[in-house]
Amino acid sequence: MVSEKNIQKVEERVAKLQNDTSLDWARKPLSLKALAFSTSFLAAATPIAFLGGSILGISSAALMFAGYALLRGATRGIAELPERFLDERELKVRNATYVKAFQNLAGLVGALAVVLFIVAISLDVNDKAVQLELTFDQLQAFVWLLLGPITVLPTVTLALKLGGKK
Amino acid sequence: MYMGRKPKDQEERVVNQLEALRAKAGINRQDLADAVGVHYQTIGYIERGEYSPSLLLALKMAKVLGVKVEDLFQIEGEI
Repeated sequence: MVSEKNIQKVEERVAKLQNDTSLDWARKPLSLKALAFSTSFLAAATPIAFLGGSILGISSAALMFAGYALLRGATRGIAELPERFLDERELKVRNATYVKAFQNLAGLVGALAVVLFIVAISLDVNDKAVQLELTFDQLQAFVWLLLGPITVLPTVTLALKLGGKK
Repeated sequence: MYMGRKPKDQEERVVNQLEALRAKAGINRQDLADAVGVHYQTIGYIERGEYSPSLLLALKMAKVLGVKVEDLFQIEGEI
């Protein structure tokens, strides 16, 4: 059961996130776009980095999370905060963001599925079974290929939307 | 006949006198936002005409400012 003290703590954290002015520099359209593209780049680079080993991969993932945290602050957490912390405009913005983020993610996962299918049918198929052998680094790369975009896409989409405003 | 929304350039726009009436009432954005239960940025978006509030929020703002909702919001070209 969530105590009243915990609820109060969460509310204080949310109020701090929503009213924080220290990240105003990151809220300028150009900064938002730059941060969104950098975070997207890091999300795309992380799986590749994991192919070079865990340390390289974890370093890239840490940078991606740093960019994501900055973006989350710059967008006041609108893409992720529970509904009760958002007003009607923020909810509208969040809903529109999730539609776009879902379309982007669906495109990405769809493309990934097609690539995986092409790879599978290009391999030897024995008794209708396909065997894929992955090293641990390759497995981590595959996991981060999904985990990165799932984590950052809503916030990146929101940042691009806010950054694109005239 | 449109079944969905009209294209953006053909949509009727709502204009408002929120900034002027808020200044006249001597209320800042933060206080108005607190009084009606929204983020202060939302008041800014409304004042700039970048967001049209719900009827409930419009009525709340009119009440706080002590004006009629139609004094606060009008359809563009019908002022």
